[in-house]
Amino acid sequence: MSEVHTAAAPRDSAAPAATTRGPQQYLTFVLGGEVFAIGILAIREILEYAIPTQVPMMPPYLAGVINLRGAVVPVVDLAIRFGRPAGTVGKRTCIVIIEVAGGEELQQIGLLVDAVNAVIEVDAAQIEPPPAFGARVRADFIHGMATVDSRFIILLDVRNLLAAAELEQVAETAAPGAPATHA
Amino acid sequence: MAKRILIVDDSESVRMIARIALREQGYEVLEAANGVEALQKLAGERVHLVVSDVNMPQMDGITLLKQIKASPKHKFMPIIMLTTEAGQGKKDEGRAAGARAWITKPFQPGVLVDAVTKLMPAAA
Amino acid sequence: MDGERETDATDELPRPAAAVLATACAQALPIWAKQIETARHQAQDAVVSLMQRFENIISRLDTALGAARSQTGASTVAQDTAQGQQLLAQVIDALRDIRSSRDALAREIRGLAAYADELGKMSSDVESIAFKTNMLALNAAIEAAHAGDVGRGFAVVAKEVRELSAAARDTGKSISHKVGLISAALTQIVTTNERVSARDQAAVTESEQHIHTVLERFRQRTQLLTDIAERSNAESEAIKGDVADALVQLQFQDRTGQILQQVVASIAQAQQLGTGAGQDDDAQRVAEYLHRMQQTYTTDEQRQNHTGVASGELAPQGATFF
Repeated sequence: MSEVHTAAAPRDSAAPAATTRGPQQYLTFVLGGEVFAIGILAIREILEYAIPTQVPMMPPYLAGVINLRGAVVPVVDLAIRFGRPAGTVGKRTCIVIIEVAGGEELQQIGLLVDAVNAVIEVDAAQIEPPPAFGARVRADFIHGMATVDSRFIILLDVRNLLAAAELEQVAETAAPGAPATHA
Repeated sequence: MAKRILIVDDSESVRMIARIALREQGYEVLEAANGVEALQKLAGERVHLVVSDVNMPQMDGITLLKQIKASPKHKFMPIIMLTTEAGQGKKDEGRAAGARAWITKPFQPGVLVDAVTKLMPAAA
Repeated sequence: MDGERETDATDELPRPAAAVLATACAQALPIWAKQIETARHQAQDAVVSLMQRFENIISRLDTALGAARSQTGASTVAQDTAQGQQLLAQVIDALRDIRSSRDALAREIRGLAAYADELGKMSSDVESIAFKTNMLALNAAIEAAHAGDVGRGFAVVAKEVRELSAAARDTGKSISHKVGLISAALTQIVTTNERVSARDQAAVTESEQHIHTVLERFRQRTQLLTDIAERSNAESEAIKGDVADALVQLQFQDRTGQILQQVVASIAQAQQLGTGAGQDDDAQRVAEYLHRMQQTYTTDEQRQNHTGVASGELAPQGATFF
């Protein structure tokens, strides 16, 4: 059976829906000087930076894998994933562990970020659609934009961060030799 | 009349040394501790040549230089800069502002005397 | 904007404002130390040289006196020479005083180094505690969001946050105390320097009177002596050379004064850094501070000390004519 770490009980790990349901909580973090946010329900925990173990034949956006209480979790270098050069590791560099749906199971993935800031609440009414042009991040990664304390925050849609095929590849990385499809 | 030199420097010891060296040569020496005092002295006394430091409080030497040159009465006053600054940039500033010579510290009294002799106007 | 709330667990921790002061001191101290060393080195060289010059002058006066003894005015010359020796000896003492008070100042400034080291270490401890605490708090918020307001994991995490918070508070108090000590030491240095400068001014003025008196008398006597014998002529030329060299060496007071003045001003500005700190641009403030320091230099050796290039020897140059 697959070694991919799954949650003990399925949780609602999708990004918050765009429909107005009251303010939602987001975790804000910094990448390449810009502020991003991910819905808190998609986030499992935050870890201090640890050097990921390299795995051969990885796509460039995979920094490696880490050991999380016995489970193998792949780490995505978010800067590279966004098509930017890799950032440098600093004092506040962290790994944000998110959960995304991969087939019928939940896949844990680590995201390498420059620093994490805080948990904020954003009302759905404050969320604007991503700009039509000029966005430096792929449009399908972006759930929307919000202005908080006169700073732009890009709300990410982690469901699209890795496409299904890429998710398979990532799962392979985490558990080499496992069957390609999950039961 | 004896030629008069105004020495402008905020350091007592530098003024002393210049005074000793120049009096030896028979010049009369007036002193000022900064640019403001220097301008006051120039307004009240006849001066034939000015020797000035660059880094001084209240008014720096380059500014003093420009102010002296700007007044019609002292347009042709020969001015020698005497300073720790050795950089070409500062020297160029001095030249552009109208200084006739630039002597770096520490200075040999003989060098100052030579420069004064060269630049002292002959007429009374 | 409406509808936002931030859960940031670092709100209650003291900001490591002292980190900026420590960083600035840590980077500036090696530079200050070099400037002070340069000043001391120059002062030492100059005083040694001066003492040699004065000894030369005195011995040449003796020789010249010997040649003129057979002529008129010998006894007055002897009197002048003896008085000259006395005055010069007083000058040397005054210069020695100046040098030792500079030494005292330099020692006090070096004493800062120990403080800055400790401060640097504690300040980075606080930073790492603050970072860990923030992480814990965020993880707690994440747990809470997943499990609802009450969760077993949340309670455990909250307890750890409180413990870390207390540890950080203690460290923060230590830092405040140390910063207080450093401020006092810096103020002491600035006060000492002012006192020392005033004393030095008086010593220089006195020295000037003495030297002027000696040289005035000597000038008159030189005339007399050169009129008398050729050996006196040679000596008096040599004495003039010694006097000229002495006048070059005496300029050290101005130069070392400038160098030390700049260090003291730089220290005062470092104090300012500590009080305004705590923003995200701390590293930038330190860089700007060091850059401003560079712009206050007035001598080449100060600039060379700042950039790490070895200082060359100070030799008098000729004049540049425009």
